[in-house]
Amino acid sequence: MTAENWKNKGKFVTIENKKVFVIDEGDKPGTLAILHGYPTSSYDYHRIIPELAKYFRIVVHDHLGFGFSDKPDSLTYSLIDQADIALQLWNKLGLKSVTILAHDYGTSIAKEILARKNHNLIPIRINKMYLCSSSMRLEHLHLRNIDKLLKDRKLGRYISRLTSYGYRKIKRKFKKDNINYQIQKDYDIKDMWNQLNSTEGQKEVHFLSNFINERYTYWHRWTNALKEAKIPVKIFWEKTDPVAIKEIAIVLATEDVSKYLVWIENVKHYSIIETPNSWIKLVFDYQNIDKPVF
Amino acid sequence: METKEWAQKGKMVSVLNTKVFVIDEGNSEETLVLQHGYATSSIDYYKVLPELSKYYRVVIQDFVGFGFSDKPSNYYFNILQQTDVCLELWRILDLKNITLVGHNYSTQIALEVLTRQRTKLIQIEVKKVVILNSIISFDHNNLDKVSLHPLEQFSNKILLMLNSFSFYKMKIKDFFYENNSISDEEIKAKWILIEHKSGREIIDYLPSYITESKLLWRRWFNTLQVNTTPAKIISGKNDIIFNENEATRFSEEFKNSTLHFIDNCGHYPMLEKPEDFIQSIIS
Repeated sequence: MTAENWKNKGKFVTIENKKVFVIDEGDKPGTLAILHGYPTSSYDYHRIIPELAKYFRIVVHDHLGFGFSDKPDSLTYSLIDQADIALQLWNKLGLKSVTILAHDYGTSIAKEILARKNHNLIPIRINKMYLCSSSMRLEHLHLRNIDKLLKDRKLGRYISRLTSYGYRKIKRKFKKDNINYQIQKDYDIKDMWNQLNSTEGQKEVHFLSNFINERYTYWHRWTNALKEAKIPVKIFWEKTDPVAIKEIAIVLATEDVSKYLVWIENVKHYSIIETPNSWIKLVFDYQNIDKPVF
Repeated sequence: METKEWAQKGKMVSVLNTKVFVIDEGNSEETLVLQHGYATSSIDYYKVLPELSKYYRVVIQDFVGFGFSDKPSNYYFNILQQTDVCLELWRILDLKNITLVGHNYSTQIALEVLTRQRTKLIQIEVKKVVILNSIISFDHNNLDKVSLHPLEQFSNKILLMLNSFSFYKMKIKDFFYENNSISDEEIKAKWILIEHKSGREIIDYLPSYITESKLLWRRWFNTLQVNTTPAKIISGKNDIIFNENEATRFSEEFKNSTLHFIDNCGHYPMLEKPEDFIQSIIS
């Protein structure tokens, strides 16, 4: 699957005069809405969507500033705005009830949606929520120095230019971090890089990093949203994730915030690409579907 | 107005697991929602309530963390939460044809409501917005500017004020054009409401509030630029926080808005110039 193929599969929906790229597949009655992670795009899910589409109608969009969606200069990519965009999109597609699956950056958006749902502000029915690698306990989050610099509003814009990573460097980094051979196939990384690099994506990357500040500011709102949730929320964690470390998950489990905590073994932040089989099985187990996957 | 007398006018309403103090007077079809500013409470509006309730159903609330309402001690009650509480309260009271009046701190809440309205994600519709002496600033964009942020100036002043009653009594007069515009009785009442439920201990969250305003500034600014709800900006001409230039700038950026100045008036038009205030709301 190349990026171009991926683009042809989806469509563009205009929301607030901005174009949002959406993949809308499958004709089953239940809808699975996916909120992707940072700083990638809906393309993360290309390996699992064909399988999931057998059981669900899949709706996955690129957040503004990511993937093929518009990257307007005038938007600072607040997570709150991203939640608004997602809700408006689902409205426009006529969804009445959804199951939400979110990853990393997307989990913050999902939690904002959950908070509003708890406060009777969303007409859409939400059946279940799956959160993967969510960084809720920031004091346990390992921020690398470069992340800290990017987070800074004043310095961020310069730092993001200085660290023009380039495709080769990213490829080397992926190889070093991932033992899995599948990830080393060139096209995966190249496509991701091209997507980020298109429409001056690199210029905007530091604005996107602003979401870490929002996670601090809305920590109570979002943690309370999980505590007060009236719908099942399930949290998945990757044990060897270098970004969202497992200690966060342990603290969460002891706090009784999550109702279920399931480990995905021996994978890193991008298990959807590295080990789609075990990942999809995990989600499916919870849907009580006994069919073998792949 | 004694605080006891004021408390009897209203009732406590349970909204999203918190208790909110609400005064609901008048029985017109048109609703007027009056929202108070930072470090003060609904009692600011006591002078204008009797007159306005002849024309409107007037709803005045204390925000969570202020006045008689609950004051959660262990966390920062952010703008989004405040907005959610307001929207839920309006739903419970079944308000119609809302004219929303926001003073100071509640400007941000009004903008958040307008933003939700723009994205068509809420059922409640606000017909008209009135912004009173806001503390909106336009320097959020200009990151290179070194000068102290207006909100931060305000924050420093407020934190100093809240040290003790004698400080408060002295400093609150700066917010008025004429020092004798506010009586000692009124100052005392305002202070009692700040102290109520040990509110003074939790009130120092302005830094978080500033951070939040900066984070969501773009979101609100986009709303100002495409606004279709009729808006009116009323500002005391001699306000030390939000001066004439800021107000003019605000109305220029705020589409579909009109600007109205009240002469010889400071930060609290409803206390200092109640007649002018009522006139500018009704007209």
